[in-house]
Amino acid sequence: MIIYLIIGLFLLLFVTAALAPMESLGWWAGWSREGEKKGPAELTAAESAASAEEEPDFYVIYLSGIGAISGDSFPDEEYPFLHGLESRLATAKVITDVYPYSVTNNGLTGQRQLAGLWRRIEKMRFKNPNSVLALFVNLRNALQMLVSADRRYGPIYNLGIANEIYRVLREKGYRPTNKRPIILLGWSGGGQIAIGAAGYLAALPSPLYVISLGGMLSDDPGLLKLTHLWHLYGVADPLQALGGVLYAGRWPILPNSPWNQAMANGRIDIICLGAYTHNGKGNYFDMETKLINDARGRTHGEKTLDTIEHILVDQGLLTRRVHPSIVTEAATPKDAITLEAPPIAGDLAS
Amino acid sequence: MLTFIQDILTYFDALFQVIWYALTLDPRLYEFVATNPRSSWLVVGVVFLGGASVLLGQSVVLFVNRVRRGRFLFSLALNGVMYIISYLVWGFTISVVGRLLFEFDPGTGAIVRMVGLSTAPLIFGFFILIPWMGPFIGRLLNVWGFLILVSVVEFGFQVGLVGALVTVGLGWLIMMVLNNVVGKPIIALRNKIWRKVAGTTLDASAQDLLLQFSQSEDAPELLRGSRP
Repeated sequence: MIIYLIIGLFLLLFVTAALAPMESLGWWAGWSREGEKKGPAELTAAESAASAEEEPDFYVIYLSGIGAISGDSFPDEEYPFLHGLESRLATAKVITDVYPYSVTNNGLTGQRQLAGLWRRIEKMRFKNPNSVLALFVNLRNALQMLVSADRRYGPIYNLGIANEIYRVLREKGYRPTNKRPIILLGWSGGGQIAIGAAGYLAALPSPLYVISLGGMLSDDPGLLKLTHLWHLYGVADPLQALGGVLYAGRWPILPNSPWNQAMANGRIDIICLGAYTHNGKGNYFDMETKLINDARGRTHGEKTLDTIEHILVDQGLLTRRVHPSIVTEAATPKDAITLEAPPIAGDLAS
Repeated sequence: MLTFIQDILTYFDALFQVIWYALTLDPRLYEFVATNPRSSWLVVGVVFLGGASVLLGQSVVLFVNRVRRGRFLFSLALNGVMYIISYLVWGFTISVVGRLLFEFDPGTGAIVRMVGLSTAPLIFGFFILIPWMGPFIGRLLNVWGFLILVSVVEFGFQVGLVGALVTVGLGWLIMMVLNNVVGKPIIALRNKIWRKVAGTTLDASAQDLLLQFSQSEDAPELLRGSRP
């Protein structure tokens, strides 16, 4: 009896996995227009309203991890991080409403046949973030991430995502002629989808950067088109390390794969943040757990933000700012001047 | 009417039993199929389901080519029929090679039926759709089918493993030669039927199609910006 149950569960899992590419394939074939966004007329109206405003210095598009339910419903831990990001990148436009696990940017609670079920799971997750049912969201989205990385489906899936990113960018006032840099910040599965979408977004005249936060990255051909990729990882995060195992193109024995070519061309920087975990205590967004041996007594989340800020400063997109905690602690004006460049560079090197 | 429905249900019950025995390489099934000509319909069912399932597994080509729903289903059925024809030829080839090499002759019909059983694992062909591990599953199913084929030939011609491997190997070589000599007009005919059924040549890759799409007026602005 138990054996039949296990076989049944495996079959169910396999059938679910086999159906995973259907949403994007159906969209491409024109079978389904489920949850498709605004038509050109509405978009033009939104664009003209946004284009009256002055354009920000650059755009940051946040692509959430596999726990995201829609473009405005992420796991709780991500919100303080996103607020921190917005306050630090005052001259940028931080965009969080792209749902990277749907080619039409249609969240799980949007116009879908199973929307009711996902809404129930969302409510349960509000009450108990560790609810077992929430794992269904992770499973569903993890399969979409694999669709993005699969060479058979990736060209279609990533086109849909790139198209949605572009649509949202235009809505927020992006004007290609101004060539404002675009940064895709992908967390976990969002990292893979960012490099996939980059293959198309690179056609825009703007420089295109990708920052992967513990991303499970494949050897996506998009790597050869983006301007630069920074992969931030923690040594206690086995999930991001899976990318290097599951995708043969990341193995050193295939030097001509997009990943190895991008590495050889200097397009990829890999930055170790320390003993970060993927989930739970000590993850990339954790604003409570203090780092061990950190001179400034920062939390994991603060160091993640510092590192992103440092990368952007290094690229000339941001001006270096004095860290408030350092200024307060500085004993004399001379000390304050010395500390104007916070010791993040040292952290990166370590 | 009731008898007809009952017959259909009995057929499917027997079909799934045959598939199960074939998957587990059960020699009792080989004996049943070899000695019972009425089992032909069951073997035809196995091959048809295998062909349709494999095409479902590889249906990304249909989606990429934007085949409509009705034509999609028709294409699956057509592929099932094509599989039946190609396995008839394959079974006949194995039978000819076996007769030339070995003394024991179970008869062409018996061998063709038994060779058809080797497609049983392909009923899981739609799992090829699974992202990342699908192509690996496809190879695994082919190996599984090959093992069934070898054991079928061992049983059919009452030979050992080496003899069965030689027969299958020679049969495969002959199929390759046939494909390249007389196969071209047949493939051209097959492609013509495909075009009629699917409404497309089905030979375009995702990249080709996207390039073509990027040049059409339906393309999103982002893609049009990247026109060559």
